[in-house]
Amino acid sequence: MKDSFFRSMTWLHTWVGLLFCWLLWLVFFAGTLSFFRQEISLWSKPELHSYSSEVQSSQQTLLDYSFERLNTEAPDAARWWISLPSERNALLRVSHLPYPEPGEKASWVNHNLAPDSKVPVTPRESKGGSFFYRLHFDLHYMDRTTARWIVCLASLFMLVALISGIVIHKRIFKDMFQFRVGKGSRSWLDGHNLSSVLALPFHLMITYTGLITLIFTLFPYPAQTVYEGGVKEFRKEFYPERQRPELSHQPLTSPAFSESLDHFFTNWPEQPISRIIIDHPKDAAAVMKIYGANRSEIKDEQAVWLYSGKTGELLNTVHLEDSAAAQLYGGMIAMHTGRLASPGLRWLYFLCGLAGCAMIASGCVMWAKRLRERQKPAQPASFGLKLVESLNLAAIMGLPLATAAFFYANRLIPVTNSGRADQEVLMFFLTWAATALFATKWRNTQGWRTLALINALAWLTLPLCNALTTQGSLISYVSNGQWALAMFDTMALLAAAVFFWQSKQLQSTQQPQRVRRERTA
Amino acid sequence: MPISSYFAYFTAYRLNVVARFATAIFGGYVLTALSISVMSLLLPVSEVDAVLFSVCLSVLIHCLIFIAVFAIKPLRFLFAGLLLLTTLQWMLLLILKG
Repeated sequence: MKDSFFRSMTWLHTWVGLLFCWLLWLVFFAGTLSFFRQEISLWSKPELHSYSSEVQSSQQTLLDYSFERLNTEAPDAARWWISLPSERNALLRVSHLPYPEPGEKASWVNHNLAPDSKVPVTPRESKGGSFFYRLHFDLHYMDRTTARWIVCLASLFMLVALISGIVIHKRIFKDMFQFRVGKGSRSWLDGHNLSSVLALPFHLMITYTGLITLIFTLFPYPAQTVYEGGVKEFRKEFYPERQRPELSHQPLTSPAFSESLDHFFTNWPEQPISRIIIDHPKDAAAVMKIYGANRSEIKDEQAVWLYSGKTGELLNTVHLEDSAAAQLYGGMIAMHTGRLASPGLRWLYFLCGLAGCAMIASGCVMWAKRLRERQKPAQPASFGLKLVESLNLAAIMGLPLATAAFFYANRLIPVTNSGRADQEVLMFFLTWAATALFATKWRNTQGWRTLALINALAWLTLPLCNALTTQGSLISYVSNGQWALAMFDTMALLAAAVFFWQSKQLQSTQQPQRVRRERTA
Repeated sequence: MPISSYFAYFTAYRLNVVARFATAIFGGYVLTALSISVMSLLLPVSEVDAVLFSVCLSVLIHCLIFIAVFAIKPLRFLFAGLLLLTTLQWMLLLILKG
């Protein structure tokens, strides 16, 4: 049966890889797009395109303005929340949460403002990049905890597949320089090896750290062993800034917020602020929490300064100097999310993510080809083979098409529609379902070619659709230096080119040969 | 090979596969959970840090167990080993928790 460690690893690699390959494809695809979450969100809200991220006003000025505004607008709120503009988000957001009516849940009142002119901006309702971010680990149409468990299991399988893949790869270095074109499943194996080995450190890192981001769902036991109150109590100790003070029911007549701000600006002049949250601003128990922006440090939790609203004194600082364990944990999460990345590094993240997508897709296709090669030509296709081929086509070609549909829906659904954010998501899944239906009937080369052409067409006309429905276009983005938007259009065109090339390849080969495709953001 | 023994071979093979997968996933999970729980009590650092260190290592431990389950050939030896490790850690945990 399995006569050696090597053979058992080969076997393990095939099976753990295949059991979850379509789900992993979704997770990798959505995750790769999520590296550009903010940029995709920006694209999805054309109302924000005219605001530059270069802000003239100082943080102090913006904060003074926000405090004044909140004082007149919502003096009796339960919480105030001020988000300052950053490199990737040009707007100032001033929000408050009212105290809930008995038996009801209060919801936030948000105001997005252009930071210099203080003009209110109302972007269209859209999930934007956050849709892909959530899809990446919460999936959709399903309970969050269940989804996370499924994704955790898939990630664990991915890690096992990676490790066993390294074990079975005897000539790991030599094969890296070998790519045999037009040799059927041998070419696919080469493609699979190439995309895996080139970005191997990334694949290992992203899978391991991905599991760490969900680790308290997967393994709550150490926290439960050490703490009586389990994970909840652990979080209370590790994240003191997330606790809300108890109401004292004594009114706060002269809040000391500006004294606290002065203290902060004097003592940490180099530290930019990302947001300020005030709990119970009109109560004597008020606490002001100043969140420092993480720049390119490899840490996930922002440092927080907690000030008393009554006396203005510094109560506590959190995550300012983390212990080794906290640095390890936070560092892993930071490496996974890539929020620390400068634009150059972010593109490297994106490219490595694409390599991961290519690795999974080529693995799926190679499996189907092997199954087909093992069958005699005259033999009708078995159910298993049909299933694998249909799922391959539906997943690999359907997901990029659904993504394009999401972006079209963003531009074409009327801005005034209520619930339009959910309609965009619905369009995404309807398109995907349609592709899946298509794939049950036509899973041969012709089917792949047709979907490649549809994909090419969809991505090619997306910048055009954008130009017709908004003020800007690729040309104006380049001339105005709006690089995030320009790159979005460029990537759409690039995706179209890749799909077109793929359809050409499929046409030129007699024998069914599928060509790996990439997608874009 | 006669058809019947061919069939028997495949049945045995599939059973073997299913058994190993179940062991790797569930057995590995339980053993990992126990190991990191014991570790969180033994690490000579603060409580928060002990929890963080052990959860960070959990994935590595589960992965190693996963591989071992497929690398160790005799099933009997594998099950005995895992059972022994699990029982030992469980007892250790009970003793540590008092």
